Amino acid sequence: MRMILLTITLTAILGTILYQVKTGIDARESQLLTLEHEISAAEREISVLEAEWAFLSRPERVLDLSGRLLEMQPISENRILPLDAIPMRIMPSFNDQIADIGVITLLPPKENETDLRRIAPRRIAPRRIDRGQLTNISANAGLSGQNIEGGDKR
Amino acid sequence: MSAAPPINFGNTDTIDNSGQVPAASAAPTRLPFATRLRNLVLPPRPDPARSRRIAEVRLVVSSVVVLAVFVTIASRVVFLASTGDDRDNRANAANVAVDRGQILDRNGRLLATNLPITVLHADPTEIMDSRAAARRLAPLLPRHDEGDLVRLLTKNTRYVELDRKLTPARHAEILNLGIPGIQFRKSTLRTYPSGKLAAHILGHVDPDNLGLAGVEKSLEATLASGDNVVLSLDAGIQAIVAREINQQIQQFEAIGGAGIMLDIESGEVLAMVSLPDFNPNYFGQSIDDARFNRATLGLYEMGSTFKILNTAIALESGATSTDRRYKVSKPLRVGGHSINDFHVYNWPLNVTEILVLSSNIGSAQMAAEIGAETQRAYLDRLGLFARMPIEIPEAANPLIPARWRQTETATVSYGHGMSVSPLHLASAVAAASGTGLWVEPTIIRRAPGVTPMKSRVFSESTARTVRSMMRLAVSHPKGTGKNAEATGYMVGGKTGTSEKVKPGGGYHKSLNIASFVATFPVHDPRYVLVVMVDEPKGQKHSHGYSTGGWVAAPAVSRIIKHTAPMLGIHPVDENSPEIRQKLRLDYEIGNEEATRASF
Repeated sequence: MRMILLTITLTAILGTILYQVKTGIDARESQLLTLEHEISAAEREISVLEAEWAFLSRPERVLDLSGRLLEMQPISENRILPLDAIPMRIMPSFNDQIADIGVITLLPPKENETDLRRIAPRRIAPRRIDRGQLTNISANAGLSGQNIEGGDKR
Repeated sequence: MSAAPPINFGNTDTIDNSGQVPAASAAPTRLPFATRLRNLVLPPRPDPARSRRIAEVRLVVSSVVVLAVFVTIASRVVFLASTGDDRDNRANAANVAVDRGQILDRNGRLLATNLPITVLHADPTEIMDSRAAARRLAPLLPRHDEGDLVRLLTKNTRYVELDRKLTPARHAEILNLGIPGIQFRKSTLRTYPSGKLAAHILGHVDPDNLGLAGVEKSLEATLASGDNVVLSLDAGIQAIVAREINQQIQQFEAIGGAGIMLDIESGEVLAMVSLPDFNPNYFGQSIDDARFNRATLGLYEMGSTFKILNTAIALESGATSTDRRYKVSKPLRVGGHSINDFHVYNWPLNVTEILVLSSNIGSAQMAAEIGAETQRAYLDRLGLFARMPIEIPEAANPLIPARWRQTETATVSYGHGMSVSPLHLASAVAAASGTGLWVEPTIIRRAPGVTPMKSRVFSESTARTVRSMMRLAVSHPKGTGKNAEATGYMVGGKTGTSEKVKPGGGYHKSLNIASFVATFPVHDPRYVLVVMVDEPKGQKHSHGYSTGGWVAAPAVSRIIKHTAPMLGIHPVDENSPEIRQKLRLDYEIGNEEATRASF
């Protein structure tokens, strides 16, 4: 009898736990379903936006717009240089040679050396840049760099 | 259940702990007054022992019933909890149709995608007053008038489609009308956001999203299962090639054109243009000529561009060498036909001059030395006798002469007598002027590390000689392809001008195919560019010429100038020793008597 009672109690407890777990899973599953729906809706929206972006940035249109609105043209071959044609930054080992020929280096001086930067006359003040020039430069910043001196005609 | 407490039925008898009723109380003779009084109203009490047995039986029966009920409920709960019946939720989620895969260019730019749309349809059997429904719907549906709608809504069917591509605003308005039997369904619409760009390659789909042409058809299985397809095309280059060829078509009043840029190493097609083109979003409104893919389905006698192949075959097979000279001053008679040159050269031309000055007579003599069998074998290995193995259904089988006699050998050497598609030419020239390997062309981007199918046709040395000669055809003052020059990018190429074949046979005297095939940069060959213009008319600014050098070459020059920086090709100084070392630019060309060649 006691065994039967025990079994029944156990079954009841297990059943309750199982039911609780099951209900929990159900709730989570419906939550998951909602999320999946939201994700697919968002994905759909993204794909619409992507299609719109692809439509607005189609090369045909960009070619037309850049031709009409920007003063840009294909980069001509004499404006392209290989990387090794550009002189690199001054190497520390060249410091002494450079100091010898009177070029002021930007590197800190050695112990027994006079700081050339300190004794160099500050005669050359930084060139004043007026507002107009600044807008010109910012208008051209990031462009192909072909018309730095042009710009701001509109 | 036996734990139930002992029950006293109202009599004075006592029950001991063992539950046994004493025998002495079995037969009372005189009942107490209270009992007698009770017995007047209620039936007399049964025998306590018997009633106890009855009660015990009842208890056991009822407890068994209750237990059975609870066990059933419990087992059902366990069963429901363990198996569950909510599988249909998941099944619904899985049943949602997979969207057709997108088509992207090599840089991930969208070329074909799906837009969610609402389809408006009706069930005529559910519509009570079709006339009223039609009257109310008509102003909202621009595609149908009222009479049209009445006819549709009275059809003896359960489904009529009223509108695809319903905008959300329209959707709401129609929903507000509240007409029974009018239904909405979510669907997707195949959209090509780049419009006309690469229309011939992408193809189009039917209203049920089944591919009908182009990649949409050939890769139907992949796309239908929701996988994306990445093409080898570069949308930017494609647009530039289309624009430049279009400009030549306008300038020379041509009826069409084609352009192909091919990666020599991988066989990938970076651009494939056929003009006029169409907008696949409005495929139904395009005309047949616009739908026709001139780059792969159009077959043309390519003319002098074939001399590149002829030269390569002659050098590779040992039929000639670079220092051989051929007399070209008089027309050549072969099998009853006379072969002429555009310009008469009254000194013997060497092999380089034959290519650079584009001599038909010289080419025919070289072909005769090669021999028909060898020529055929090489052309076959260059893929010119079979349909191009390209991933679009619109690819044509070349038209090759049924019999290969002396005449055919001679005419094929300068690109007449057999018709191939511009893609055939691009692929063959890539082998002859690149690495000497013929690479299977593709419009699908090759995964890194995947080596395409290659077969060796020419030695590297032959290919180097050929592209050096092609460079001279562009760089030499007497070369026919001077207009294709793009300073710094080392363009090598060959012009081609051929008369169009009449459908019944014979040639149109005034209708041309002007073409140019270029390899660049020749010191490190990476790309082959073919430009073809269909039926250009001579213009004043071209002095009446409608030849490849005047029509196609300028487009080649502009395309290379514009795209080389995009392709990462650095301009070089042609006269630097490193560049000259990679080429053979010391060939002797022309003399004082040579006139300016423009063929």
